[in-house]
Parts: sequence; structure tokens; C-alpha cells
Amino acid sequence: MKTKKQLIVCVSIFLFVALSFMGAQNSVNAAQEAKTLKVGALTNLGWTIGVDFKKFLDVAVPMYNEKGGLVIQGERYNIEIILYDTKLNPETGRAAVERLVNRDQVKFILGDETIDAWLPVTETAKVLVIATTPSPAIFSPKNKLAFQSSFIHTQSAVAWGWFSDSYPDLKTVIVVGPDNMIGHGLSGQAKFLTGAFGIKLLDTIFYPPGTTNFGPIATKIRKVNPDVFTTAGGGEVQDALLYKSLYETRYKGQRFTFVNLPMQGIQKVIPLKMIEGLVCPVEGLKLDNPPPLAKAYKEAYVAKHGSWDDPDTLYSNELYCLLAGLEQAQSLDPEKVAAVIANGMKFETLSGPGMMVKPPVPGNNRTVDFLPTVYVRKVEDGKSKFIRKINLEEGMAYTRRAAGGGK
Amino acid sequence: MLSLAGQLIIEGLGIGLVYVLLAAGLVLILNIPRVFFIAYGQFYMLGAYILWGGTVLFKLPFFISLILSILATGILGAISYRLIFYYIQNVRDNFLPIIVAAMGLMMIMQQGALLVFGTSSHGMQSEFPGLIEFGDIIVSVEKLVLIILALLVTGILYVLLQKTKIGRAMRAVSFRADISSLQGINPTLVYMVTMGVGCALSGFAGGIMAPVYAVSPDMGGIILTVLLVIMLGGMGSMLGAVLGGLILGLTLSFGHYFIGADLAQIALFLVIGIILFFKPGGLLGNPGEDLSS
Repeated sequence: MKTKKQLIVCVSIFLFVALSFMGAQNSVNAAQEAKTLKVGALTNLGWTIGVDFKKFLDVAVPMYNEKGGLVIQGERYNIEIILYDTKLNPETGRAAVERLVNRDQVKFILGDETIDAWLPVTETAKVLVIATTPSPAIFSPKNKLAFQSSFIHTQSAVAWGWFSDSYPDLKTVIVVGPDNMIGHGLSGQAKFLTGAFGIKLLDTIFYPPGTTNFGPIATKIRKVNPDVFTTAGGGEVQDALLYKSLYETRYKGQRFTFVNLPMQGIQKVIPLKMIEGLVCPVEGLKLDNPPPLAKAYKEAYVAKHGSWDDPDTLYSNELYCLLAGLEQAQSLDPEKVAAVIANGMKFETLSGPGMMVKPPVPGNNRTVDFLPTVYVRKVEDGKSKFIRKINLEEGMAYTRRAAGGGK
Repeated sequence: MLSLAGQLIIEGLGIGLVYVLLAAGLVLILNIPRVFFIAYGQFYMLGAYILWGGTVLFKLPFFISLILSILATGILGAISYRLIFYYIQNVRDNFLPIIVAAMGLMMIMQQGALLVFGTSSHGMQSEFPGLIEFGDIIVSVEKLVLIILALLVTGILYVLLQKTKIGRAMRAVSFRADISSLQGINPTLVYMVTMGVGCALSGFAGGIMAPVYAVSPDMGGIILTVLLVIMLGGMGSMLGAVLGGLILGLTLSFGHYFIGADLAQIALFLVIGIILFFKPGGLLGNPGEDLSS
């Protein structure tokens, strides 16, 4: 009996030691097998969207690596991000890119709005860039390796197209935005798209970026009394204050935004009854039942950061676009990856399926822009409700109409 | 047209009176302890954050949070004088050391706010919802409360300076600290109280602004505009500060409406330039004038 017990103990110890050794050996092998692919990333850490992008990368990249990482021709790669803060300053951005290209030797960069200042550097060095920028310079046919992966160009076309079809009686609009690159970029878009979809732009009003007193601007809007009022890139607090001032003038027109309006942030400033009737696009991530990738990301985000604080995900497609391009090209050659992306690549994002398309700009034949699945919601009875999903085919039709001047 | 003018005057008064409070507080600090207090804007930010934190995070009533804003900024202002500026004030050629010390305090407060509250702005739901209509002029209750509170505190400040013992002591010290000390006035105490009152005014202005507009770590940048208001009104003049604040608020309000927000900023500098061209000491000030005059 005693011998039997001793035997069981000895066997258990042996098995435990053997399994531990094998496990350790396996992890050593796995670590040895996986190579590292360095990817540069740029953002402005001085604003919330940039900080949220860093938090996104801190969650999404390990999540991707843990699921097996990137596999190219049977070779496994873990993604490593080298992130620099551009402070949204073109010179700082250019210096960061030169560092990424020359010192860090990266072949892939997730860019930001400073791209106009450094695109010639990456094009010359044959570095693939996936960026988020309202600047149309990225669409220039002379660029071969630069792509725009956020929804900011196409979603606007889809949103304005859908809006003009759904509210055909509303014919005049005023656009208000901050006097900065984002405000001017989005206002320029609004000017082009309202023209394309038959809505008359009565005025575009810019305000200094730090403005909080919108009373006089709201008084002016009330006086002109357009059918539609829209904001262009003010951010949640300034947009909320603008809507608040407008509410205080008793303006009765339709509120519409063609860019995503974070309702959670808006609600911290004003009650939703102040924007009753507002129609705006919403990211799939913010739906009650988000797409599968978004669901998994949310869980990983909560595990990493403790809670879901409604982070901005404007730049997130840069990573998903690059990873899909690498996977589908099965190559680390930036030119081969660019060729796959430029061929209308479809890929999964936090907002569901998306695809690369020609930008909704006349005369541009390069497939360089991104089209998302667009969701629309409306504020009714003081609550924000999902009302419509615009799939890729419908979205494509709207972007083509926009590019064709509404035809 | 009359209703439009009325509406724009109300809008201008809302922001202008906040500048009045800020300018009045800074004029006190500039004239009595004679501290070029570049960190003054940060007290405005602190007041706003305390009100926001009190009402949003701790669910305290608005007026309790506002009193906390006033007390905290006032006490911190007085302490900052006793711990920092008291030691520099009597140094010969102290202008630069005072500026450097104030800038240090400014940076500590600014970075502290960034660390604690983050980079993004915070808004809060109105404590005084609702609108009041006077004919075609529509005023939100919260803006009306802001205007009334600002007028009330401006009045209290006037009474404090003109009718109370401490007010007389402040004016006396501002005129000649050495002579006033022969009359039994403790200049150090007066300087501390003045810094406290000045910073409390800044905190109060931040507090009443917070629910109407928004709270952000870069609010302290308002100091530059406040200095403009003081230059416009006259360096040593409290009444000038009041006038300067109102002119600034109204110029911006009418400017935003008629020529656009960006051009309104240029128009503001133009107005200030013209006034200073004809009155180099400001509207009601003379170069070298102090509060006692």
C-alpha cells in the first residue's frame, strides 16, 4: 500500500516536472519562432483623440499578437508599435517620420494629420503610410504608397446623400466649425457635398478653437434661420455648447451632423432635449449590439484599462487596414501591400465591414480612401435611437453620386 | 434691430462681467502687493474645476460648490503670497524674480490640472435650466444668474474697498506701505488679504463660468485677455477695469455677429489700439496711477 502511494507520488512529480519542462520549452520555441515587425505610429498626444489612439494600440496590438499575430508565408510576426507624438505640428511630424524611416527603419507607418509635411519623405523611402487626415493632398495620384483609412471623407458623402434623400424638403444649411485644419477641412467637404446633393450652403462660420461663448453665433444662425444647421469638427464640448446656445435662441430648424457626434460626451454638457430631432452618423462600436470585432475590443479594453470610457476610435482603421493589407498580400514589401489595398480591399473594422474606394472627389481614379458601413441615429424624446444601417453597396452609390456632382 | 442689439448686449454682458471680475481682482494684486501675478489665470481654472468637481463628482449643491471655489482659491492665493512672494517682495529689483516665481506657480497648477483632470474639456449640465423672454430677447436663466452674481460681487467689492476698515487699509497700503504701518496697519496681513481677495475673485469668476461654458486645463490662458482689459481701463483703476471688461465683452459679442469670430479678435485689438493711442494710460488711468488715487 505504502509502495503504491510512493509510486503515485513519484509518477505525479515526474509528470509535473516533464510537463513544466515541455511547456517552458514550447514557449521558448514560440518566442523564438515569432519575429517582430516594427510599425511606426504618429499622433498628437495633446488631445483626447490622440491619447485614445495610444490606448487603442495598447489594447489592439497585444490582442492581435496573442491571437497568433501576423503570418506571412508561414512565418509568424508579432507587431511592435513605435509611437511618436507630433503635437499636430508639421515640423515635429516630419522630424518624427525621418526618425522612423532612418533610425527605426520601419517600412509601415500609421500617420496623422501632419501628413502633408512629410509625405514626400515616405514616398521617396518607399514606406507604406495609412493615415487619417481631412487633407485631400493624400489623394494626389503622384503618391503611390499612401492611403486614407478613416471614414471622414466617405462617411460625410454617405451621410449628406442619405440625409438629402430622407429630408428632401430641407434646402438650406449653415455650417459652423473651429478655425483650424479640421474645421476648414470638414467645412470644405460640407461645401462640396451640399452642392453635390442639392442643398444650398447659406454661410460657413468659423470660430477661434478655444471659444466657449457661442451666444452671438447662435443669434446669427437664428436670424438667418436655415432649414438645417450642422457643426463641423468642434469636438463634443464645443459642439454641445454651440447646440446649447442655439437651443437658447429657440431655433426650430433641423439639426444634422455629418460627422460622428459622441452622445455620451454631449450628454455630460447638455440634456439631449436640447438637440431633439438631431440626426447623425454613429460608429458601429457605439451601437447596443456592436459588430464582433468591436465586442472583442471592448472586452479587451475593459480588461486593460479597467472600464469602458467611450474612447474615440477615429484612427483605429489605420491598424486594421495595414494588417489586412499585409495578410492579404502575404508580403512585407510595401509596394505589394499597397497594390492589394489599392485593389478595393475589404476588411473588418470596429464598425463592421469596410472597403477601400475611390474618394468622393471628382477626377480621382486612385482607390485610396475608405468606405465604412454607416449607421444613423436620431435624438427622439430626449433619447438617442439607432434608425438606419447604410451598407457598403448603398454607401458606394452615395460616394459615386458625390464624385459625379450629385448625378 | 433693437431686439438684436439687446440680445447681443446680453451676450456681451455675460462674458464681459466675467472679465470685469477677473480684471478687478488682478488690479488689486497689481496695485497693493504689487505682484505681477502671471499665475492669476490658473486660479480662474481652479475655481472652475472645484465647482465642476463639487457639483458633478461630489453632487454638492451649486452654491456650496461655488463657496468652496471662492474659499479654496482665496486661501491658496493668500498662502502663495506668504510662502513665495513675501520673501521676494522686499528684494531690490524684484520684478524678474516675482515673474519667475509666478510662472513657476502657474506651471505647477497647469500641469497639476492636466495630471488630475486630463487634457479634455469637461462640461456640466445646467444648474439653472430654462429660458426667459423679454419681447424678442431670449435669455437663459443660467446666464442671467451669472450676470446677477457678477454684478452682486462687483458691488460687494466696491463696498469692501470703500466702506470697510480692511478696504481702507488696502488703499492706504497701496499708497505708502511704510507710512500706513506707522498708523498700526500690518502691510503683510493686508498683502495676504489682498492676494486672497484677488484670487477668490478669480476663482469665483471660474466658478460661475463653469456651468455656462466649459472647464478645461487651458482656461488659465485668459490672463492675457485680462491684462488687455486692465490696459484698456487704466492700470490703476478699478472703475477702468469694469469699463474695460464691458467694452471687451460687447466688442466680441457684436464683432462675432457682424464680422465673424476671427475678425472680431482683430477688431478688439483695433479698438484697444485706438483707445490707447488717444489715452495712453487707458480709459480711466494715468501712467503711474495707483488705487489710492
